[in-house]
Amino acid sequence: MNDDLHAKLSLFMDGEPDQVDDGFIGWLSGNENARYTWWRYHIISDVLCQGIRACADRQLACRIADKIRKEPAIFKPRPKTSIFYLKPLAGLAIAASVAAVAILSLKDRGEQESHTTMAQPVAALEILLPAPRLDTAESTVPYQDRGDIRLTNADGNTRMNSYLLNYYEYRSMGNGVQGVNPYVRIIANDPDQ
Amino acid sequence: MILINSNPVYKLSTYQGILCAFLLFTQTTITAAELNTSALELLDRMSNATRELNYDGIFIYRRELSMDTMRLIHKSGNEGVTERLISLTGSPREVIRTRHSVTCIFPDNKQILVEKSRSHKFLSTQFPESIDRIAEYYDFANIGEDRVAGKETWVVVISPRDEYRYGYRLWIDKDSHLLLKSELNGNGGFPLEQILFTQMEILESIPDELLKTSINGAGYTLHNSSTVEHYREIQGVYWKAEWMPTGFALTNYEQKVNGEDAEAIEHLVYTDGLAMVSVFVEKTDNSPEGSPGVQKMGAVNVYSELIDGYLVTAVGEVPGATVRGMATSIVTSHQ
Repeated sequence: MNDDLHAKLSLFMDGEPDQVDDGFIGWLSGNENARYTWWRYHIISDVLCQGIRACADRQLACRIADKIRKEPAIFKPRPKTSIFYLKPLAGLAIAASVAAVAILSLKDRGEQESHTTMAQPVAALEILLPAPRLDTAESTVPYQDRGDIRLTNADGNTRMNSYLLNYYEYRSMGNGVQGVNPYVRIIANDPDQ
Repeated sequence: MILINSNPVYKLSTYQGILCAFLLFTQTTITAAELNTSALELLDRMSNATRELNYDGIFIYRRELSMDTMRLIHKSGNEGVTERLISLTGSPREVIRTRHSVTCIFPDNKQILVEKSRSHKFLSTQFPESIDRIAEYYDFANIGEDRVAGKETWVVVISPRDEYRYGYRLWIDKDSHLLLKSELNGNGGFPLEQILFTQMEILESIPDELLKTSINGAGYTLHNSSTVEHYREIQGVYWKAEWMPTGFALTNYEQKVNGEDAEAIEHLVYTDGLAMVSVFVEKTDNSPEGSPGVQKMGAVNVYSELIDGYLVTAVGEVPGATVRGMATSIVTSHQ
């Protein structure tokens, strides 16, 4: 495109169509380079006049769609799986899952003896605890309703907590060298909680 | 005048100096003797006092970044030892331990767990075991005095002679010989766990009321594992660790069964007299997730590995290398 045509384009943009040939518009509409120059001049004009607007070309949406299509699938990060079934645990975690050990065992028996009660009434504590002051008027919650106890044997923590309790039981004989029985770790609050 | 006045002063000073030197020497000799000979004796007395006295104390338990305050009530008598351990921070969790059972009470989710106590069955495993035996694998030193909970204490340091055990620093009450402060130290000497009594009261007797739980039990669920677990009569030792740190030996072997037809869980207990490692062997059809590795819970390390369809897990208050080494060295004599 020569300087004469550039000059005509500039005049046309400046709102002086009278200064250009009658065939200029036809030429502009049929010439791709001319249209690109026309579009570029508009951009320059907008910037110089500080009237530029947030704009996007027609291909933008297509490019975004294409990017999304090519984006690798990202899922919500899974909780870190502890080595084997083991997670750092203490206190409540031990309580809940060790309880599950008992429940699981009871459940196994329950399948053979359909009327087996899964959790004993708290009244049984009167025998097990040294003269506890327990209100036995209310019955205990059936295990099926316990949302905070996992009932799957695949739960590694259940197994692990059983191991820990057995270890502590042996360790507690004579209180070890620390002077306090290791059950202190069970009732300590979990720093992760 | 000067000579007359100075001579008596000189003679008096000499006499005083000799007296002071004698007293100082005598005192120094006594202190050194106490420091040299009392470390092992103190541990022995501490072990006895911890079991035999009646006491009620409040202590701080710290591990990693967490800290808890707890109360310990300990009663000794013809019925054996009864203890009540109560968490004073957060949820008021409790552990009541008698000669026959261990009861864990968790008010936060209203659960009560009862485990059968075996402490009356294995009296041979009282800790610490023979001090002489322990002294082969640890160095003992009474490094001086300190004051804890308003009481004068001896400070005893137990240093392992290899990297497969942890060390201890103990503050033992001079009068009662109860342990008032303890640190369990890692290989770098940094404390993994600390217990510090801020209050300790030694009592002639402990009222039974103090050993009763304060909860009323309403709405609680009781889980008594002793009703579904039992121990088989041991026919033989089918598993053993081929590697363990020098001084460790198998002290107990048991087979626990959950249910009638269930496979037994083998439980091997190894100790060097101070540290203890439990190795559990359990047949499993499911391959556990993840890869083998050491997990740490304060001073307790755990290592698990699947070996020929058996899940082998070692648990102990020992460094990770120890549980790992023992778990991976387990072999069977099963055909």
